[in-house]
Amino acid sequence: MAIGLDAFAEHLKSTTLGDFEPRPYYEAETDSLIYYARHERSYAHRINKHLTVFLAMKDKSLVGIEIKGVNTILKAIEDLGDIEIAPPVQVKDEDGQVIDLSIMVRCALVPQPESEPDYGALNEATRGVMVMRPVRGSAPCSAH
Amino acid sequence: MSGTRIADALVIFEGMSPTGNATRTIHIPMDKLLEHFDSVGNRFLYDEVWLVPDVCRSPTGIWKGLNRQDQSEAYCYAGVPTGEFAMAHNGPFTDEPCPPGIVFTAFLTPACEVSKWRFCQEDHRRPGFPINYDTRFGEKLWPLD
Repeated sequence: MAIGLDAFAEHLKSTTLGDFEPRPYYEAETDSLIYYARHERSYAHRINKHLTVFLAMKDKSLVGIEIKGVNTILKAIEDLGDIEIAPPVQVKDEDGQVIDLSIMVRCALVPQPESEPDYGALNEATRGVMVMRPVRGSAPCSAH
Repeated sequence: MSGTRIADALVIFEGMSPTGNATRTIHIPMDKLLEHFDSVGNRFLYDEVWLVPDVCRSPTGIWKGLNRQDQSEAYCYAGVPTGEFAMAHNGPFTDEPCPPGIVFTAFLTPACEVSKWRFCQEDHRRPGFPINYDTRFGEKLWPLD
């Protein structure tokens, strides 16, 4: 069903959102994993071609992250040799544990960053957040 | 809890074509884009979609290619939204839609479907352009300079 902007505006105004819940989201179109740790108005700040951080408009503190080229990074993790990527969506190490989002973040940082990231803030925001490996066309991934 | 949802709708409107020399029908697929933000209650990013029509109609720059794998044909529309769409429909962003030093970007697939949107820093060398526009994106389609 196609709708125009008037109907779109009415829908946006009428929708009641639930409470904010920090949860990773996989965007298949851009092969990106997006995670907002806090509910703040933010802007994107690119660290390198794989990692963008979202900084609060009011004070530039870390709000969230976007990891781009997720499948490339997961392949790099798999190539480490000790980690099995089990289809369809779960990334496991040899003990069957999921991959901590912070590890994916560090992998995204392997290329020379274009600007110096705040490693401490990144680790604090992402450690303990578990993700399911996304595949194209799948439902958004969820954190444990 | 969500209210009434037009879950499978495709929002269509006329925006600037990627080459800047005509108009082009642009789509916002409701199910793909808004479901996540609706379900996790990220109100800020959800509301920012109000700025997408502004930037797609009157961008300050359009680029083809995001300098990433499988994104060589995607588009980036960037600009400083006026809040026109929101104001016309009593939506948010009627006061300072875009803070100083910030621009709004909308990313489109080759078929001109909006895939995501973001605020980002403005490039001090070129007002209205995203920071590092010359290395982040591929060919600048518009303006022609």
